[in-house]
Amino acid sequence: MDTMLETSQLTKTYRNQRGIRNISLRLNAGDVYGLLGPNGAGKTTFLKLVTGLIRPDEGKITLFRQDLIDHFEAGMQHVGCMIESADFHDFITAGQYLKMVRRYYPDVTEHRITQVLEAVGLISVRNDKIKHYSTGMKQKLALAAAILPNPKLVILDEPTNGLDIDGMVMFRRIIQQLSEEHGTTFLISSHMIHELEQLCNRVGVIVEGQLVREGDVRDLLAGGQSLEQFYIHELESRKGEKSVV
Amino acid sequence: MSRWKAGWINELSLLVHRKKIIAFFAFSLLLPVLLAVSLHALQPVLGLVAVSQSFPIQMLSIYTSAWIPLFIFTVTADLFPNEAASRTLKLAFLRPNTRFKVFFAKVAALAAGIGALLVLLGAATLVCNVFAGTALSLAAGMGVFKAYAAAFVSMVALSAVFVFISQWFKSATGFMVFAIVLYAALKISSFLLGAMSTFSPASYTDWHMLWIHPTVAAGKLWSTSLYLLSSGVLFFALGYFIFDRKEV
Repeated sequence: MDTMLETSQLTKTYRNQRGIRNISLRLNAGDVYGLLGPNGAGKTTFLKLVTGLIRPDEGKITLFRQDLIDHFEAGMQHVGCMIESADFHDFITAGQYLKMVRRYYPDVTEHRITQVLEAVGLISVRNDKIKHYSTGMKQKLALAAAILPNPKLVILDEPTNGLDIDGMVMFRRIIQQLSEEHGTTFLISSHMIHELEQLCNRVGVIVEGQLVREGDVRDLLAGGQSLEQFYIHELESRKGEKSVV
Repeated sequence: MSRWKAGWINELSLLVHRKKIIAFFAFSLLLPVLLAVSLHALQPVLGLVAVSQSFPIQMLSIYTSAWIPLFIFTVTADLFPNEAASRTLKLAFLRPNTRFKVFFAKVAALAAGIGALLVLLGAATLVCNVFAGTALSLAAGMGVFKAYAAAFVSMVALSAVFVFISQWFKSATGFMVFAIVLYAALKISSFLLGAMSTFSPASYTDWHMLWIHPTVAAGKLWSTSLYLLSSGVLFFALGYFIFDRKEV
C-alpha cells in the first residue's frame, strides 16, 4: 500500500517546554485518519510540522516517500491544507483568492474554481470581499482552497470550527465523496468526535505531546463502545498513570 | 520558475488591491502636477522659471529622498510584519513553493512597485514640462531616463535594508515608526559623519545626480554601483536568513 505521509520520532519543543515528542505515524493511500486530543495536546503542532510551517527539532517527515525539507515543492504539490484558523487577505474576493491559489497548479482549470465554490456553497458570494464573510464562510473558503488542486492528501485542522449544521453536513459529504470516489487521503484533527467516528477509518490520540494510542476505528469500536467512550477511556487511563506516578 | 512567477504575480495582485497602495499611486500622479502648478503660480513673485528643463531631475531628488522611501516602508510593512500579524504568511507557505521563492517573490514585487512608481512620477513630471512649454530635447530626455534608472537601483538597494529590518517586527505600525526614525537618523548621521555617507545605503538616495554629472569619473560610478549592488545582495541574504526560520 502506498505511503502518503510518514513521520519518524518527530519532536518539537517550544520555549515554554510544550510541543510534541517522538511521534511516529504513517498514513496510507485512502486513509481517513482522525487526530484526537485535548486542547494544547500538540495536534496543531504536529500538523504544522508535516506541512513545513515549523521545523522539527528531531525526527523525519516524508511526504510521498520523499523528505519534506529536501523536496518541499514536490511533496506539497499533492497536498491541500487548512491549518489553524482560516485567515485570508480580506480585501480581495473569494474568486480572486482561489485564482491566486490556482496559479501554483498549472493543471487546475478556471472551471475547477466554480466547481469547488459550488461544492462548499459559496458560489453566490464569490465576488464579495472576504472581509464580509462570517467565520463559517471563511472556513468553507479554506476548505475550497484546500481541495482546489485535486490533492492526493488533504490535511485539515479543526475544519468544522464555526460551521453551522448545514456546513458540517456539507463538510462530511465532501470528505466522503473525495475519499470514496477519488481515493483522497485525509488527516483531520477535530474535537467533533461524532464527525470523526462517521468519517475516519483510523484514529490516533495525542495527549501531552505524545501519540498514546492509534488504531482502526472498526477494531476500536468492536466492543460496542463509541469513539467518544474510547477517547474518554484513553484520557482517563492517562490521568490514572500520572496519578500513580 | 513557474511557481516563483505564480508567487510574484500573486504578490503584485495583492499590492494593487490594497487601498493605500492605490492612494499612493494616485497621489504620485498629482504630486508633480501640484508642485508644478504651485511653482508656476509663484513665478512672478520669485522671478524664476519654475518648470525648467531640469524640473524632472529636481523632482526626482524629492521623490527619492522622501516619497519613494515612504512607499518602501509602507509596502514592506504590508509584505512582511503585517502578514505575520494577520497570519496570512501561511497562505504562501502552504503552497508548493520554497521559502526562498516566497521571499524572492515578495522582494521582486516591492522592486516592481518601486519601478512602477518611478515610471509614473517620471511620466507625470515630463507631462508637466510639456504643459509648461519646456519640453525636453532627446539628449536631455536620455539624461532624465538615465537618472531615473539610477534612482531605481539606489531605491531597490535601500529597500533591501528595510526588508531585512522588517524581519524583526511582528507589527506593521511598529515597523513603520522604527523605519521612519531610523531613516531620518541615517540621513542626519551621513551629514555629521563622513564614513556614514560612504557606507550607508540611505545616503545614496541622490545617487542619480552622479550619473548626469558631466565630469564624474567612471571609477566613481563603478565603485558606487558595486557598493549598492553588494549592499543589496547582503541585506537580501540576511533578510532571507531570518525569513527562512520564521515559524508561523
